[in-house]
Amino acid sequence: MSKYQQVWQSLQDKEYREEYSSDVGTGLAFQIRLLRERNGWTQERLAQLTDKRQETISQWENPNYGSYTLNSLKSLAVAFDIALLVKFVPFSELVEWNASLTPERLAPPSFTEENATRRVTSRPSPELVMAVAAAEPFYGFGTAVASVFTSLTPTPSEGTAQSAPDTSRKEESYARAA
Amino acid sequence: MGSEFTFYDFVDDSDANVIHEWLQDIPKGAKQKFNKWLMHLEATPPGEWKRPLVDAVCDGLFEIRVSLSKQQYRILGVHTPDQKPMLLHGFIKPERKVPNEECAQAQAKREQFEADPAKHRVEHNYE
Repeated sequence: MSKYQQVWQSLQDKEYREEYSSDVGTGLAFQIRLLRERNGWTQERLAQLTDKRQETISQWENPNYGSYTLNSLKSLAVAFDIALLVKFVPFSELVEWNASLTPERLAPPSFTEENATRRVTSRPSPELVMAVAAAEPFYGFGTAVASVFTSLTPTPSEGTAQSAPDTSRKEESYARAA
Repeated sequence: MGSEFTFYDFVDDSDANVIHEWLQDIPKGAKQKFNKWLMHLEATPPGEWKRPLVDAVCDGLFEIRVSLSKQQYRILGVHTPDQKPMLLHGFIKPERKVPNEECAQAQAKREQFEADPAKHRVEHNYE
């Protein structure tokens, strides 16, 4: 039986299911610890960036803590320049997350890091779009392929300046910490 | 890139998975926390296995310590050369220091395992 199936079997017990769902602290502590380490920050540095004491960061990195506030999590998301996702989901989604963890999922890339790779992988260059359009009459890709590329072409409102990372908020928090 | 490790449980001479059996006997909140903790450790690079995620105890063993309702639930394990960390012994103790008798029990299981690794380990059961 796979790890996912084993956990799913455990969830048939209502008490276990409630405990499993309500314990958000274990995973958060691992993420905070690994994100801080990946950034090369000490606990003191992260405390500065979140306007907290070093002792608080130490508590946040303990999987036994579990008393995070939404504002604390927001301040961490700003410091790490990553998104914070708080939502209700089916149990299958929660089990899938826990059963398929990787170092990359535990310490996701910052917006700036993600943005650098996304531009290359998700948006074809204008030259590629032109080449596909030009070749279409000869190879008969059909309009579907051409329209996919066209839909991925940046529109005037998606110019470079507007899609550049917004660091003003982060810089502001750095300034406040300094 | 997947998980860094897979945890294994100690199996005794009567083919009983002692870790799985111990986890069935503790409160469900502590059991689910251990399992979640282990899943996160499996994806944690070896250089990050430090306190409070993992503690070094008992002359070469590691300890995972779950606190719940003022009770401390602990599992002792050992790193193996083939990167298959082995969970040896679970117990409940309120003291900060690991009692000598618990260390001794874990070390005895470690010796049994090292004498015949194939017989004494099975992949951790998350159920």
